[in-house]
Amino acid sequence: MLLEIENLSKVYGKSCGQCIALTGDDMGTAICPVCGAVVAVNRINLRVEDNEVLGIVGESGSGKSTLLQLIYRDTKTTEGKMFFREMQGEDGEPVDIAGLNMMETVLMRNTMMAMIYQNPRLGLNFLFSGGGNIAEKVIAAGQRNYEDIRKSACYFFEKTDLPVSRIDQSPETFSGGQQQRIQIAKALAASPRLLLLDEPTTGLDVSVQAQILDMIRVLQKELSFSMIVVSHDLGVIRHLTDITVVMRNGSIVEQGLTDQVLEDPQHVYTQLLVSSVL
Amino acid sequence: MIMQTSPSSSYRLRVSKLSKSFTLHNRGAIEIEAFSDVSFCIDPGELLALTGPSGAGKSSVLKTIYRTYKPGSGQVLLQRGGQLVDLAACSDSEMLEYRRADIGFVTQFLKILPRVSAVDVVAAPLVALGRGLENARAEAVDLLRRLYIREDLFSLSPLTFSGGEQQRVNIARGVIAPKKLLLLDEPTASLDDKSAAMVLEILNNLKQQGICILAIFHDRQRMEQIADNEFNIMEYNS
Ligand SMILES: Nc1ncnc2c1ncn2[C@@H]1O[C@H](COP(=O)(O)OP(=O)(O)O)[C@@H](O)[C@H]1O
Ligand SMILES: Nc1ncnc2c1ncn2[C@@H]1O[C@H](COP(=O)(O)OP(=O)(O)O)[C@@H](O)[C@H]1O
Ligand SMILES: [Mg+2]
Ligand SMILES: [Mg+2]
Ligand SMILES: [Zn+2]
Repeated sequence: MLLEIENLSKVYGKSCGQCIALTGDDMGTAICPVCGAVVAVNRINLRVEDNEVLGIVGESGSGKSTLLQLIYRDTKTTEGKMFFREMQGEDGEPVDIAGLNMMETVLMRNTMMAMIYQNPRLGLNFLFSGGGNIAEKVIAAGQRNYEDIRKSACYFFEKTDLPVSRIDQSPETFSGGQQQRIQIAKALAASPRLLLLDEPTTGLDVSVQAQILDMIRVLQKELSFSMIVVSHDLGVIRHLTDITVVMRNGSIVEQGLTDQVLEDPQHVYTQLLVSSVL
Repeated sequence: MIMQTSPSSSYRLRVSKLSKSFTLHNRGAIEIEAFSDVSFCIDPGELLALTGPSGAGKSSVLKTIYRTYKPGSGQVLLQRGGQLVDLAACSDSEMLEYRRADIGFVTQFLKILPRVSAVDVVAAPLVALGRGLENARAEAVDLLRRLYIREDLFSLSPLTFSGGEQQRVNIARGVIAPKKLLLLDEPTASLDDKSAAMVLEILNNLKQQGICILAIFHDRQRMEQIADNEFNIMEYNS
């Protein structure tokens, strides 16, 4: 087991103390009826095995991005635990990454886990060059020699089909699809065991989307890491994932093998979601 | 032909009282029964033909065994090494592993990703086992030739192929790296006699290797040429 999430919740805003119990899909809302706080993620349990690709679907506002941000520690957990096998305590057991301090979080992000954001501005530093963004991770992973760092940056540029001749240019000068490729190149430089992708191709041209999805698939198989892919697009989910989780109002309403969720959806909401694209 | 009923102890696959129905929530929560109370065994090297009229639930049985459909009740017991596993009760992650290692499924219609050539579609299962790409492609080319696929199609995506060509690519992919259990949904339905005969020859070969096969045939004559036993879903469906 690479990642095990237990009873994870996130409340945005000041909580009255009852928010989590009074919200979730069985309550039909993510907004606390008492205090109005948003419970973006509500008592979620999830497991990810090695080399597995998990998809998360659900309507806008269902808590998909928040769930990834909790795992990547972009935002603080309200309740619950997340055991990530690569982060171990002195006893050799996985630690609860919800409790990591800042240095430990940086270590995790530099060498074990990476995130691809829908908005490349969140994943890349636009003041650095494309290569500089990758070099940052390469250096963080321990390389010090200038030539080696440059070679690595070039390697990851090539690996993601980016023009090495433009490695010194700012991400600003690249197309939207190429900016996503730079994010992926940067992520690979951390040699992650777990890659988180939040709507990685949303907003790109269909043909560019297809190329990037193909590339992600090939890289995942070749380098064997696990992924959690968030998308509102069932086509992306079908293309990339083994197991699918369906979210609504911060809760998981259905989970199953991806072909099963698409061909034999169980929950009323999933049936609606699937039938609306057929 | 003998009807298969007797449970044997040497079975590879044992399906026991398996049932499946669908609840369509957005259509007044109506229930549609796909099949109910299906039980049979298959031995290594045996081909069991699943028969019955259209709509009897044959395809659904295969999909439920493979977990494309969520099993209702009953058991699907598979022998893997010394281990007996229930495919109807295992976790999703376990099922992914069993699919990878033990179960092949040639679905009725080819389901593949776009932009992948016929050769690479067929070679993929070998590559997944760690075979080098060149080697795997060579073997895929051999198999496609045996199935009378035209050479000029090899480098194209099968999504543009005719129904019969797609079916042969589907079969080639399903048998190139045979697993212990093979599920086949109407593998010869749109094939001419020559191609169908080749498919039957390939299946015969798999039986001799001890592969256990559960198959649906469109054509009774072809089924009788290859099946060791028959399970008629209507007669056993109470
Ligand atoms: N930083 C934030 N502060 C307050 N509320 C937020 C914040 N981020 C997200 N939310 C709210 O949390 C809920 C879930 O949002 P999000 O995780 O982005 O959903 P999704 O990615 O599924 O569209 C929404 O109601 C959203 O408005
Ligand atoms: N995904 C599904 N959702 C709803 N009903 C289904 C689904 N798949 C099959 N069925 C129904 O189950 C019954 C059996 O179908 P099927 O297994 O395809 O039969 P056969 O292969 O014997 O022709 C039919 O009534 C069919 O409409
Ligand atoms: Mg989002
Ligand atoms: Mg059928
Ligand atoms: Zn509250």
